[in-house]
Amino acid sequence: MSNEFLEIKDLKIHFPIKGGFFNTVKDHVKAVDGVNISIPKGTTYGLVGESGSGKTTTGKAVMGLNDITEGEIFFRGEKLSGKGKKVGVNRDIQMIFQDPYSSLNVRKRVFDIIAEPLKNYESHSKNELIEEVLKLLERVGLPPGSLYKFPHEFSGGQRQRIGVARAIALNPKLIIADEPVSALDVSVQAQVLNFMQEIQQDMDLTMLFIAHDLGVVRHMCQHIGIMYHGRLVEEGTAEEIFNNPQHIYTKRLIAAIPDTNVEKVESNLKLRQQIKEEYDQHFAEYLDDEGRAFPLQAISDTHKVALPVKG
Amino acid sequence: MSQKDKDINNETNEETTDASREEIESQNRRASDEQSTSRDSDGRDPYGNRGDERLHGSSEMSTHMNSDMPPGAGDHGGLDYKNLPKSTPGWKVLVQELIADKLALFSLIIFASITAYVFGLTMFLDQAEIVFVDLFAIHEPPNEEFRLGTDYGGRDIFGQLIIGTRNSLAIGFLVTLMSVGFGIVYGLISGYFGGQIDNALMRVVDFFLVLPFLMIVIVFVTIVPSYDIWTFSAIMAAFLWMGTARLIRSLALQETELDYINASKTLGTSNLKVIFSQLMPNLVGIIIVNGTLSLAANIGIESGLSFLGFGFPEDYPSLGTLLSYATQTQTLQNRWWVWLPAALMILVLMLCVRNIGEALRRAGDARQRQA
Repeated sequence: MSNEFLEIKDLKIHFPIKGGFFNTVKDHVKAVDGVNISIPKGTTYGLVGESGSGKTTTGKAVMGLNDITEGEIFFRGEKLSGKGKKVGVNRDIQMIFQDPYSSLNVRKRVFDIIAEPLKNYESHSKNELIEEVLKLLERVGLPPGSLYKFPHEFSGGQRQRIGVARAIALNPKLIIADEPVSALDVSVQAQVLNFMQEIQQDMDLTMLFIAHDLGVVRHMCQHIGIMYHGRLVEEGTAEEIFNNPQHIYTKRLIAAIPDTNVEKVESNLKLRQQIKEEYDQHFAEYLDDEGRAFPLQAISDTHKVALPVKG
Repeated sequence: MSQKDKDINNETNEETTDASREEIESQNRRASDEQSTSRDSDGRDPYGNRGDERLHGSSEMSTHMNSDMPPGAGDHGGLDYKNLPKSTPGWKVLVQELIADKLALFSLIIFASITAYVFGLTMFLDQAEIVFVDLFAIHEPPNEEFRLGTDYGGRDIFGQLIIGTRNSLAIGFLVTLMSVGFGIVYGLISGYFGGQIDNALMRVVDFFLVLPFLMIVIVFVTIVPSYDIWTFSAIMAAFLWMGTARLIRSLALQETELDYINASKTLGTSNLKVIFSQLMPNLVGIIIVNGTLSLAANIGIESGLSFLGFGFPEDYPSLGTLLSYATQTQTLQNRWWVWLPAALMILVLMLCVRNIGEALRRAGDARQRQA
C-alpha cells in the first residue's frame, strides 16, 4: 500500500445527537471530519488545536476507543478499521493518557498496573514478571521501592511515568500520547518530555503527539498538523509551521506563544494585535459556507495549507 | 452508654497485656535495626493513625512497620523485592473507622456475640423437643425449668427465641448474599457496557420493581406445600436485588468513563476481567455498605412475614411468630415474657447492623471519617 508507518485516510467520526419524543437521531457532531495524516517511522507527529477540535478523538480512533464513521486507518500497510466499527486492540499500538490521576486504577499497586499488559500478552512466572516490572521502573526513572505502592503515593510527574512504563511494557511500535503533560506542573513537564524523547530514540518509537501547547510540540515533533473544528488547516514540518505559517489560524496560535524576552514585549504585543485584527476581518474567508476549513493544498513538498479556493 | 464505652476501652486495654506490649516493643526495635542501613525509619503513615494500630494490630506488627518506611526507603539492594514497602490497604481504613467509632465497635461486638451464641447454642438444642406441645405447662412465667416461660402450647420461649433468632439471621444473611450478589453482577454489566444493553437490562429492573413483592411472596408461601430456609430466601432475594443493581449500575456508569478503564481495554484486557478486577474493586466500599444496610432490612423482612402469618409454620420457631402472639390482648397485657424478648432481640439486631453499616459508609467518605 504505502510505506508510511501510520496512515489515516479521510477519517470521519460523527457522534449522533439524539432528541425528541422518540429519542431519534436529530443531528451529528462532526468531531473529526475528513482528516488525513501520515507518519513516517521513528518520527513524532504533533497534532495541535483548540479544545474540541477533534485531536483526542482522532487519537482514540486509532486506539479503538471510538467508532469510526468513515475512513481508513493503515498501520504498517495493514488496514486496521472498517466503516462504522472500532479498531481492534493491537499490542503494537499503545496510548499514554492525558490525566495521570484517572488513568491509573487507585486500587491497584504499581506492580499490578505495569504488569497488566504483560499478563495479557505474555506468559511469565511471578518472578519473571517482577523482574520485568523492575526493569521498566528503572527505565522510567522510578526507584524499585515503588513496586508495591499505590498510585496516590506518587506525584503527578511520577504517575505519568508509571503510565509511560505501562505503555512501553510490550515494546510497542507506535505510541499515541494524548496531551501527556497538560495535566502536569510546568516544572515537571520538561522533565517528562525529555524522558519521553529519550525513550523514543532508544526504542525507535513512532509517536502521535496530541497537544494544545505549541511550545511543547516544537520541542517534541518533526511534523505538525493544526486542527480546527475536526479538520486540518495546516500541515508541515516543524520549521515550516513555525517560520512560515500560512493559515491565519496558525498565525494566531503562534503569535500567542509567550516570549520570555522582556525587551520584545512591546513588539510582540503589536504583532499580536495586528494578527488579531487580520484574524477578525478575514477568518470567515478561510472557511466554506458550512463553516468548515477548505481542503488542504500543497504549497511545497511537505507543507499543506487549507487556503481558500481562488476565484 | 458512656459507662459502656468505658468498659470497652478497658477491655481493649486489657487485651494488650504487659507481656504482649514488651513483645511489640522488641519487634519495633528489631525492625528499626533492620532499617538503620536505609534512611531514617520514622516515616509517615498516609492516614496518620499509627497510635491506634499499635494497640490493636499486634499480630501484624512486622508488616506494618514496613509500611511506615518513607517513600523510596526500600531501594537498598533493589532485588530483594519481597521486602519492598507495602502501603496501607483500603480495608484497613474500614477497620480504623470501626475502631474509632465506639458505638459501631460496641454494636459489632454485641452483634458478633449474639450471632456466635445463637449459632453455637442451636447445635445443642433439640428443636423437636422445644416445639413439643405440653398442655400441662401452658403460659408459665419464667421459672427454673423454662428460663423465659412458655407460650399457649406449653413450649419453651427461650429455646424458640434462640432458634428463631438463628432462623431470622440465617435468612437475613442468605437473602442479602443472594440479592446483593446478583444485583452487583447485574449492575456492573449494565453500567459497564452501557447503551442498548444497559437500556434493556434496566427495563427488566423496572418490570421487577412494579411487581407487588409482598403479595407474590404470600402467594408463593400459600401454594408451595413445604419450604425451607433456602427456597424461602431465594424467593425473597428474587424481589430484592433491584435496589443494589440500580445503585451499582449508576456508579459503574460514572466509573467506566474514567481513563483507567480505557487504559485496561487498550492493554488487551478482556471485558470480563476489566469488570471484575478493575471496576469492581473501586466500588467495593459501596458494595460493603449496601450489603450491611440491606442485611438489617432483610432480618426484619422475615420477622415481618412470620408476624403476618406468612412466614414459617408454628413448629418452625421464628422471631415473628413469637411477636405475633402479642396480637392477643391477654398475652400483650399479662404475659410479657412471650413477646418482649423477641421484640428486644429484633430491635438490638437491627440497631447493631445499622450502626455498623453507618460506620462503614462514613469510612468510604473521607470528609465524614472519624478515624
